[in-house]
Amino acid sequence: MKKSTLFSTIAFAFMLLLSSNVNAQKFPGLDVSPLDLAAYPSRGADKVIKVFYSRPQLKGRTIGTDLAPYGKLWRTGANDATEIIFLSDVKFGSKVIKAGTYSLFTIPNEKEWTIIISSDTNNWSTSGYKESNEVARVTVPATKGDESIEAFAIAFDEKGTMHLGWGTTRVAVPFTKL
Amino acid sequence: MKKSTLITTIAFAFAILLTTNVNAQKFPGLDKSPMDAASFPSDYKVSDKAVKIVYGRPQLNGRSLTELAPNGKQWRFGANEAAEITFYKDMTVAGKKIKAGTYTLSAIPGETEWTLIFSSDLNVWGSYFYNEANDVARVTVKASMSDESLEAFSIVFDEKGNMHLGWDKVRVEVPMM
Repeated sequence: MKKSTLFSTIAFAFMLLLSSNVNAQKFPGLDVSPLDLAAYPSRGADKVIKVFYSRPQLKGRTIGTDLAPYGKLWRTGANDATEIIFLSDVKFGSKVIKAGTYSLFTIPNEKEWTIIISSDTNNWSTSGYKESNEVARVTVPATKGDESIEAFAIAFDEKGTMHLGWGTTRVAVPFTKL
Repeated sequence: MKKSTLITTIAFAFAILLTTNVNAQKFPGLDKSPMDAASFPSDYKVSDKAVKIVYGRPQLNGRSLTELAPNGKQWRFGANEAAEITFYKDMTVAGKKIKAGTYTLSAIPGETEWTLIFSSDLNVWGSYFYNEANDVARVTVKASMSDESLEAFSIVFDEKGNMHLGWDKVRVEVPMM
């Protein structure tokens, strides 16, 4: 009997352990590539463009090879595909993009980047990309900055041009509000 | 002549300084209270979402919730920009129907229950610009205490679609369907 009592006690303790694990809601820790928001205009509630993107960091790695490889479709950040919201119609290259929510993909290269606006949304990385869902595709020059930026960054200037910066790579993407 | 040369040189140096400042696009550093997103279904492979919330994640840093999210006072539900919640379909939140759309979410914390306020005001900083006339729904939900302390304000959805908030030892469950 003694042995079976011990066994029951152990089994009971184990069950308690399991049940507390089941009941307690798990919460996520902070993301290593945190989400951030870039918006135009940067001040005020009357926005034209909002970009939700995750911010990977260089950590000694190189752009074009280890990170954002040249010639390959890139999520333009980390984690989920980068989301771009137009709150009014905008002109991008020769195309008019209707107000709405889109994904922002890029194909990095040494001298120029291809910027793709896609109607696929809420996808992980580039998994949801379909060529048939491309809304606009524009190629813009890539330049070099003096300063190296550790965390991938997006910022809008006062004209509505979206600037991408990572390492010494700089890419300017012009949008015009219609 | 010497003095004017000096002045010219200083003026020129100053002009160069100004020019580089004007030309170089400034990029933001990482935020101390980073933004995060929680969605339902929470599986990243599922792109057909019902709910998505984007919020800033302040950390305790040795402070208490009585200081950070005091009971009885409207709180921006995170940090920086007010939290934004998108319903991709019509939802029932703690018994109240809310139409598909994007809303700003704020809360009034309390010891045993919290009030959540869904507002049609968007793109606002904190809750400073809060306008009661734009309230879409106010719901009351239960608050409880946990043994474990969470350093960063956290939001997560369970597999049924209920939204859970956690910060320090406070836990709030928001029934959603």
